[in-house]
Amino acid sequence: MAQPHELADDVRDVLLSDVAIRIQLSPSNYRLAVERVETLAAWLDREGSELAGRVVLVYAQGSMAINATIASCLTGDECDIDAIAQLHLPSGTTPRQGLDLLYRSIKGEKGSRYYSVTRRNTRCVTVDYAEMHVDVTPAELIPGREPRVSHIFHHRPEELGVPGERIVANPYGFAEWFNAVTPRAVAFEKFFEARSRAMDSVLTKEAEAEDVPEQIPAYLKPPAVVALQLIKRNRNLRYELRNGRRPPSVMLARRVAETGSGTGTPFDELLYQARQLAGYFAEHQAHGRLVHVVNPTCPEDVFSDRWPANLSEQGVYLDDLRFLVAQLERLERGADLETIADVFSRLFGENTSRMVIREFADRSGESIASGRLRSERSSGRVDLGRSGVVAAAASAPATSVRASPRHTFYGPSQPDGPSRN
Amino acid sequence: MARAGTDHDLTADQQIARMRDEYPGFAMLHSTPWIILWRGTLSPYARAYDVQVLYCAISLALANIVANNVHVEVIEPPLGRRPSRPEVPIPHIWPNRLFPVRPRLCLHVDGEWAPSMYIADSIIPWTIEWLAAYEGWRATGTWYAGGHGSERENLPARRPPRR
Repeated sequence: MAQPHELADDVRDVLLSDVAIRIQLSPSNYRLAVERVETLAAWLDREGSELAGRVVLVYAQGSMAINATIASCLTGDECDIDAIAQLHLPSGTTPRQGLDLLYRSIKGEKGSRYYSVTRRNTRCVTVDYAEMHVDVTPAELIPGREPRVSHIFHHRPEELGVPGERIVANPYGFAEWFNAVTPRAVAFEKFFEARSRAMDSVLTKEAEAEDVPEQIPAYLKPPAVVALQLIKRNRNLRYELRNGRRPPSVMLARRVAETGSGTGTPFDELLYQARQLAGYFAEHQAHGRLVHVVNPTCPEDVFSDRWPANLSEQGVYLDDLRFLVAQLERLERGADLETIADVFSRLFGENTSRMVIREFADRSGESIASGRLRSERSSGRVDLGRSGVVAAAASAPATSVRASPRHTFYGPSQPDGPSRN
Repeated sequence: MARAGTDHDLTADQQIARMRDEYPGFAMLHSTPWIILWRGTLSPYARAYDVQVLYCAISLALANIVANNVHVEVIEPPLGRRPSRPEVPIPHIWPNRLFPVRPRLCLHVDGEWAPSMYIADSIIPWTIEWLAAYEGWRATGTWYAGGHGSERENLPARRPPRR
């Protein structure tokens, strides 16, 4: 993969994109998430709510704000949606009181819509839906600071006699920074959008979902964002059976945005990012230091404040990253579909990976059986775009691509088959 | 080719020239007016396969060679059954008596190939398709690419005109 190539040319790029599309927030769930945050905002400010008249703004933060949301678990498509509720609270409100107030306001009276699906956490209040969890973090603007620099609250629900702490944060600023510094790649974004739309027709058919809007911003992603989603997916898989905290997504997001290479292809970008991350953690580990990652728009907003707690925790994730790099390097050296399926299963989960490979093999097989497969002269490389195996974003004149005459593979599944070919 | 077939058959020189133009990486190891042997590399997806292509205008019964046919073998990596289902044979192959580990690919049925067709325009693209289908079969256990006796055998052809 050292030489530049068309995005639809390389099977590793196509399959990696398909995995990313499979694990990301589906267009219908994206729209649903937006609607739910808006509905929650109106609910908080409803007449009779303890927060009526005190809700300044409710907006998406975290992965939702940078288009990097993925399914939170490996067996379903549940997603964690993060939102900030910018509040104007009574003077002297403690963090514990602020979190409790938000919790009561969302939960409402017995019989109301959120009553049985609302949970109070250490920094946010979670509303559980069938297909997603919405984490609402209460925040108060800090007078005299840049817009959106806020206090968020930290208080464990079980520590009743403790007022809790205020933490300076600027998630809005971080999202703006992330979206501004992440290298864009127009060709890749067109390719990914085309793959997303092609895949979406499959996904929506499976889910019997509503029609998808014509233009969906979630489809337009720089390679670094797709790489980030895959790195998060890999992290989720590795930490699925471990106790304790895992590397926070926002920390990974900052590193990925800063080191975005703009390689233009998902495989190259993922390998590049994985190597960069592994190198970053390895350097700290080698010197016996914990990583210290802050919000670039607000240095007091420390992304690494809860992870890693010690070198052992850091070392566990470093090993994960080294494994990720080693597996991707297996593919870089050249791999058949079976090896790709094996590597993807180890990195991103068995079910999704096998499904993606099976769908690809089916599309490719259909192209062969119907005589539409096109391959390049000299190398024999299958032109996936012109073969109809993937939707090519654009097709240049195909001077070096060839079709073949009609034929029929003979000898169905018989090792001692007929003596003719 | 001219020595063994009809007036429409291509000569060995024509086949060799076409192959050199279309697949210059293929090395011609042997050629007579009756036999041509090539070896080369094809990479349908992200793995390279070394293949051997043998055209024979005459029958060689001891080698199980039928006259006026092209015999394709995969040299490296060796073809293999799926580790998870070793009892299931590789689809669309037939045995190679000389080198059992290199079964010959069943690329077409009778009448679909004739010596009047360029090997570079038919047998080689069919080999690429076979290899692509084989990779899919190894990864999934299903031969999705159709073939004799499969439900995809009769899918309608939707080819654009040849260049």
